[in-house]
Amino acid sequence: MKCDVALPLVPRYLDGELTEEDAGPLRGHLLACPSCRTAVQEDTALRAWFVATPEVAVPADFAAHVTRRAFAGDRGAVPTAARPRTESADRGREDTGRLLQFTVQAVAIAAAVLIVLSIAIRRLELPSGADLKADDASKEQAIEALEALNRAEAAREVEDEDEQR
Amino acid sequence: MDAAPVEDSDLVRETLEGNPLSFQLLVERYQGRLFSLVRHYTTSAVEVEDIVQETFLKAYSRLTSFQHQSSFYPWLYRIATNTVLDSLKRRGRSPVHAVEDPEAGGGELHARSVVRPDARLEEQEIASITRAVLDELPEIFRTVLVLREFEELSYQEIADTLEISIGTVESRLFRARAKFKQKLLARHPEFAQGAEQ
Repeated sequence: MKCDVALPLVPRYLDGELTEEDAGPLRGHLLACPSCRTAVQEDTALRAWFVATPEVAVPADFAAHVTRRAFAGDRGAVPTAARPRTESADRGREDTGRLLQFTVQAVAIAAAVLIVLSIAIRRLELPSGADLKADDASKEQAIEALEALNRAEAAREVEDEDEQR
Repeated sequence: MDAAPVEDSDLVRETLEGNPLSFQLLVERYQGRLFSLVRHYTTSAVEVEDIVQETFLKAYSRLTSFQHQSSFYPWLYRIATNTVLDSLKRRGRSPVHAVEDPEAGGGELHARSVVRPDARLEEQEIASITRAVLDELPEIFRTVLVLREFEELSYQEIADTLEISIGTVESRLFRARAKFKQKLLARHPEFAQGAEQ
């Protein structure tokens, strides 16, 4: 596979939209091509900005309330300011706040643990492409390994520059 | 032994036969996803609830037109996205409309690369930055990003929801991501690849 074929496939690959028939050769190409690996890295970096946010708490009586309105002939065209809302809406919003606070704290702790782990792993060994095969089925594993290859390559470039100086 | 879940199409049929419990089950099945979808367009919990209610009421009143459709939730999502945009317009917060052909190419595709969110940023801060950037995007791009990145719909599901072809989904997503990157870097040049953090 050549770069001009591989590059347009990268977004579909990262979105999980490629068949394994197409994904296998693409992974093979990415292993051998630092330039296309950079494209993967850029795309995954952009996707990291879309973080999952905590689930919204739905008021407990929401479904029953909507059903009553629907079967009473309400077609949803009434101006919303005059529309009755579910009684538990306020309580639901308080729950959302507490859930959000808990989630943020939990994520912060998890992030700290991950950072410590990643530093420890980096000290143990620099990665090599040997861990990744073109027929690896897990997209996440493949992306992780490709990014590790990029990092290792960048580190090698820095070392080479230092040696030249 | 657990009973097999009732199909959406059965619940729709029973609703049309006059069974309120079946409609309530449909609402319960999808209310969480719709609350999640709508809050990407407004931060007001009251507005979110209003819009989701309106969506279900519209869906109920149009249920007869769904009968021959294959899948219920893309149909429901379509009503929800239209209701959100109508509602924003009604409340004087017109969504940004594309002033260019969304399928056409553009110079921003060659913009600088963006880095991952800084590890020092809390998830809430990242979400807030992303939200502000999405607010600046033309509606056509924002919607496709919300459906893909947050709702994790497949290309086929997005195509069904927006009534466009899979090829159009792909090209629109490509352009939407390029626009997002462009707007993000315009607001936060420090997140450009190679910029001083």
